[in-house]
Amino acid sequence: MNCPEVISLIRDYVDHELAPQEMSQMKAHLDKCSSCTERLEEERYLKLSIRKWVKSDPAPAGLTNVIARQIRTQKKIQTSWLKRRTLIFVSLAGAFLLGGLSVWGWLSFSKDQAVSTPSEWTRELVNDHVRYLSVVNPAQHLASSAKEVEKISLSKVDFSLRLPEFTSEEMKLSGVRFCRLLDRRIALLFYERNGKRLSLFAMKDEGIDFSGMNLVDRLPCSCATKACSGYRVVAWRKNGFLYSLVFSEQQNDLLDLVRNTYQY
Amino acid sequence: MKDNCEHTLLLFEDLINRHTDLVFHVARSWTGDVGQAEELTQLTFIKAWKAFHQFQTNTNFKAWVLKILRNTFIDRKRAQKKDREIFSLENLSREQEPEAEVPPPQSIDFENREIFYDLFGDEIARLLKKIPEDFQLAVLLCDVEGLTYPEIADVLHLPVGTVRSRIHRGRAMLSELLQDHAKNIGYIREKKT
Ligand SMILES: [Zn+2]
Repeated sequence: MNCPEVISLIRDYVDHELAPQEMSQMKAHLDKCSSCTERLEEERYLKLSIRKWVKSDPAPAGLTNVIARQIRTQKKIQTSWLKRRTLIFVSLAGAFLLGGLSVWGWLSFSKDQAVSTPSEWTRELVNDHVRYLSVVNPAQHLASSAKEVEKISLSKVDFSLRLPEFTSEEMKLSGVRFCRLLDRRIALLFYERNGKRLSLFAMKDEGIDFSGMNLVDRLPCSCATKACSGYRVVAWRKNGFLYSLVFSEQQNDLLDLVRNTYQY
Repeated sequence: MKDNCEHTLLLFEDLINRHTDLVFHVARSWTGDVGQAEELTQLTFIKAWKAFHQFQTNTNFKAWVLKILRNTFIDRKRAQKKDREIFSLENLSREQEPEAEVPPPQSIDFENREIFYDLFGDEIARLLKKIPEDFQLAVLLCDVEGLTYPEIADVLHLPVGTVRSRIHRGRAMLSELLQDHAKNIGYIREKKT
């Protein structure tokens, strides 16, 4: 190997990416050529300094704990899901014997039960929130209290809605829409707070789990949060309902509002 | 699930602790968005946990988990395709980047190389941020995380030649910036050519 050949391979040499034969040829040349060794030293210093001084950007604080907790929760869910699946299977096998239920039936059954992932439904919630932001008054029904909405809901949805009473004076309810989201009947409540619109989605607590979301501690109910395209979703379960509050990321103190509403 | 599951879980938690920053960093570099990167990082580790029994202990965990991240990212992009987003990683792997030979490392006449790097090494992190993100990432994976060229090629879904060229070019650009910096503060006598 001559000097130009060696120099063209110096970076690969430093990275240990050469075949053993090339490595030893390089080494043989470098042992007797001070000018190439000088270049090698340069590259080696650079590489070592990068290793010493550069680090991956730190992930947001707490992300590691969130992941660890999710995996532990998942372990529990998996175990109970396995049990449930066994139950379904056993009962269906019985039905199959009795009524000649086909395997296809079971397959489509399990497909119907498919749950949407948290990222899907949080995105849907945020999309809906954003869609109505441009509308001056998107409410189908005007209402200024949770009780009023619950009354209206009686004729609108097939479940009797129960809503949180936010403790903050700043939360002004303006009205409600009843609509469908991800194939579910939901109530969408519009609030104003310091001139900004908030959306509260209320639906029956079915088929949605909080994996992939950041769990919120120290609340008497299960609560999780997730950021999505500049908005934040805070979701919590209470009284058989799943509530999701959607607001702009800039109003991050709203998590405290949910906390205060439920903390005793 | 067996009883030694708890032991495996502890081991895995340790791996999460040590690799969250890396996975998050790469995810953010691909998505350009903190929220999405957070989500991808979580999904990646959950998938990695589910597939952990397939992980071979004599292989590189970093490369393995980053491959899961890459697949998760691609799946996510496919699912979002209806939103007509650009499928950047796939596009990248299709278009062949020129693998032009990078100028060889130059010999720099430092007053004292060791002292220079001791004094100004911390500038490296700042200066590296100035080079294009694709090159930063290749350099980070190679020099900081110790992945081999083929491992990086696997993670980034690129030909090995492209990876090599990005690493070499990235370091050359960084070296250039570092020399400019050294010249500005009067630490280099003159450049030999
Ligand atoms: Zn030589």
